[in-house]
Amino acid sequence: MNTSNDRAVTDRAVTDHIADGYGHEWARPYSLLPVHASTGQDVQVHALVQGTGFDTRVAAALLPESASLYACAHDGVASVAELSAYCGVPLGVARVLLAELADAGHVRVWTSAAAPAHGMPAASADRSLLEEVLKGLKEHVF
Amino acid sequence: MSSDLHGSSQVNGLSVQRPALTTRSRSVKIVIAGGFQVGKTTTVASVSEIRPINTDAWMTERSRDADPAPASDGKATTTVAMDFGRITLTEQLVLLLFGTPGQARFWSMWDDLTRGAVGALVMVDTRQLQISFPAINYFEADSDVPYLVGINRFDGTQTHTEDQVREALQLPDHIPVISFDARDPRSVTSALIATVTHALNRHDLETRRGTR
Repeated sequence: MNTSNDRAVTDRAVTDHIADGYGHEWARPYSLLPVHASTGQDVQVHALVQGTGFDTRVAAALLPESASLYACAHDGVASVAELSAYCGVPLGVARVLLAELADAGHVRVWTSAAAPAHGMPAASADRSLLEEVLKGLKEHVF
Repeated sequence: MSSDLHGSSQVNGLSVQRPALTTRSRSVKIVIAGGFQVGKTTTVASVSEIRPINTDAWMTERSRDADPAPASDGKATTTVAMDFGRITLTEQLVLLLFGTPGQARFWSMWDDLTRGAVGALVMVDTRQLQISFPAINYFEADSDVPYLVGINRFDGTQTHTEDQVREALQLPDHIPVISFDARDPRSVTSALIATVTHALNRHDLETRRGTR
């Protein structure tokens, strides 16, 4: 049952999340928007995003910022930071909205394991991916 | 908008190149850190294939007090949020660069920006080493992300050796110190290569120690 108390807690959690990350004046208006409980998927700024199939009915039901991110995410694979910039949605807000869209199955968000998980030693990272990055940089031509 | 490899499109006035990344593509992140006006924006701009996305804003009088800058630089704006750049290494692999906000009042963003990074390049300016102290302290004490120190050769010449900088910063022996020119794409690429190499070395060291 979704009591008003649950809702207040959720709202505060999301507002805190925004304020904690990229808050200040940019995020303030969004904290007033009706926010939905996220299952807590942590969307990192460099994660890649792709839409799972554009549906005009889904887009029409979304708030403008979410609809914009949803449409952009169907434009090809892009990082969270890029979608945030393309859509003019502050990064901290984009992370929350993309987490919601991912929870609803509207977009897919994925991160690779080149870096260790939070609190894990570097050894948990994917060594072959680090090697691939190194090779790519050495061969990169500007 | 097209998403072919060299397709470009105008979004929010930005001319962007969109890579042909696929659902099998992977992304990795390197953080460019350091004090206020140490050259992070220039570094990202030198190598990014997209016009660096940032949130430069005019400094207010208030922030001018809070963030004193060398008057000689004549820099009218400063980065209040972050710089973001991209290097598509292959269609399957994209390297994203994130410059951290230099000012202490944006400190809370650092955890979010650095989490999951392959490594961090902490930039220092030998004319004002102290502005990068907080960044070094952060990676030394509060982060698991492997970092190294990069001296920005502002004027193309080097006034202090790596060893002098290491001593002044009291860096542990295992933290590499390199020099590079933030304006030169090749030089910045070398710095990024050094960063990833350091991350690999640390990976191997921890694997040998069995600290998995």
